[in-house]
Amino acid sequence: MADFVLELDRVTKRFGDVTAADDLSLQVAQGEFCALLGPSGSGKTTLLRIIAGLELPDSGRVLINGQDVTRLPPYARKVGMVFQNFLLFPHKTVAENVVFPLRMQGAPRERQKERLAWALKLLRLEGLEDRYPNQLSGGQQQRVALARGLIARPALLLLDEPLANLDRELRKEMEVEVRRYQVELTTPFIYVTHNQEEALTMSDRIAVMAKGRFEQVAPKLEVYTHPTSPFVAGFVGHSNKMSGRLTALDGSRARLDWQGVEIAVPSPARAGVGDRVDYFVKCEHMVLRSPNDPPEPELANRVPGVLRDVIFKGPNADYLARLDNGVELTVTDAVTMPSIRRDDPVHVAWAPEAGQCFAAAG
Amino acid sequence: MATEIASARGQLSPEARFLLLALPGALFVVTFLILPMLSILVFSFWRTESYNLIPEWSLDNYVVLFTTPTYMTFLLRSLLTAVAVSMVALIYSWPVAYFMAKYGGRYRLLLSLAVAAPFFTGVILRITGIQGIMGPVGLINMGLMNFGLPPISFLMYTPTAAAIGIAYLFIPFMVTAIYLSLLNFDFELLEVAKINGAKAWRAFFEVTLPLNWIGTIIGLVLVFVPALGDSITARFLGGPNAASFGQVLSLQFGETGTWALGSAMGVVLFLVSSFVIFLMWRSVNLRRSGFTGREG
Repeated sequence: MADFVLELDRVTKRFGDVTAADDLSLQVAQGEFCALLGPSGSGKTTLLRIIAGLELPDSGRVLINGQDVTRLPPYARKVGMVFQNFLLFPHKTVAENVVFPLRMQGAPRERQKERLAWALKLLRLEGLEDRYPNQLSGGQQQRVALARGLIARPALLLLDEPLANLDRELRKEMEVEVRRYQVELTTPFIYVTHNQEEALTMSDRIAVMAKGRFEQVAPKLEVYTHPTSPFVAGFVGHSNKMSGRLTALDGSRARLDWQGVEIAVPSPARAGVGDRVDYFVKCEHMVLRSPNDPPEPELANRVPGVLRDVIFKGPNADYLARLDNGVELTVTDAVTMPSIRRDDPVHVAWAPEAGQCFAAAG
Repeated sequence: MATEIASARGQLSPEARFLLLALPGALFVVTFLILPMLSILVFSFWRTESYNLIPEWSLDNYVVLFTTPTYMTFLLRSLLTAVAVSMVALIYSWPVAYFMAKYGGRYRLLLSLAVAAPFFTGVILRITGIQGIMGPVGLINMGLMNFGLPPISFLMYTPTAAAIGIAYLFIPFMVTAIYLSLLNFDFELLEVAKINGAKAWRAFFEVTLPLNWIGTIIGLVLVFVPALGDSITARFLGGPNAASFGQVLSLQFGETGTWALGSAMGVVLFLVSSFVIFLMWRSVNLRRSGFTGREG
């Protein structure tokens, strides 16, 4: 019995000069929800298509339940797939769409009926069996696509930005639902998205991709709190990026000259005094203080500025502070700071270890 | 402001605009379709005497048509030819149209032009060209004889030769109809079918064909109807044993000058064609063709 449902072994795929998948290895276990997160053009969809068998990798292997399927056509892989634009068969009813994979497998009629009932119940599509796709709402269409992807008990389900075409409300709802199905079925889901909130809401593990490479593959909390590359630090969550040269290095702490402001940072790997570094701090890890507030030892970095604007976002707000060196920092905090108004002098404070410091690329 | 100016100029009412725009099309249909059809229908119940139409009403022409075995032979031969040609055209056109739509890329327009290229010359010229390939002194048979081989006899003045000629003439219509349909076809649906367990052929019959069935039917009609009424190809390529219904029909308006009988033959041809079109259209279920009824 194989330990992993899906194993990618050094998969590489080039399109002309572009390397869409660059020596990618990944293992996904039973019951796991793994998100492939990256900006468009990062190669995440290509990787998904390689897993599905819609693209042949230039090198490397794809294993499903221990079996090498690299050269198997899509129809022999027993994977399900859900697409961004739903891609239901417009000339088939809901029931015909959903049961399609079982019909192609030549499953007996009894089993088809039984599984259809199961899938329609799971995805709350009862009563819509005889509708055609264009008679359904976007959410219903997406649930039909999910039902079609799941009915044949695939070894794993591939999802290519399945919620991108839904409006915000529905997307939130579906995020929770999709996760619920996954937990219920324990089928591993590979979920491609460029939307970090989706990835963070639903997945167990996130593989952050950029330029055909994995930047970081880790449990989602770790990706969020401990990004291991400048790309991940900048891409996941909302961060303030501070670039400058190291002026001093003392054990685990270093000092950074950031446009004339001296701040403390955790010592970056592979960088010495005088080297350029990028320092990322998530907006919600910074706080605003009034200049009269007493210093707090744990918030070792404290820089003065002026509150430029407050962007109300519901439960919290983004406070834009312009520092004396002319740079703006964004601080996300609760909307409970009535004492501070626009153009008031403020201090932005944070703990050095709240952020990550990386040697600047190049 | 803008609307005031428009009304000040005395714009046409929406009704008047509608009528004005509808007029040219309606005029065309009435003048060139309905009136000639009606006159043919009327003539078919008259009789001809020494090249003159005599307006004496009777069913004689139809009685002659349906009781003289030769006419029925001509009709059956034409029907058989039209069915065979349509099938050949169908099987031949699909891969051509599919290739154009799927792999044409930016050369699509050029490829469509290549399909239309035969129309740059007249029908007679094109059939003569076919003769130059299939005839007794044509490319194929001359070539065979040069190597000391016997000529392929069924290519020379036979019903088969005529059928090949008709197929050649009308395949471009079928290719165009299917190609236009495929332009609106989402090829990604084939990937969906494959992921869900369908092999290539299964995916074609489950997805591609049904979703392009209307285009295919239009192509079939565009081939079947002219094939059924063909006269020229049979005359040039068919030889003595290939006389088609259309060929005999055209004789009535030419050499024999029996317009009334010819008109009756025309009516029969029209009815048979309409019936076949009706049968084909019955196979179309708009929903099953992915037709959504809205702009899509």
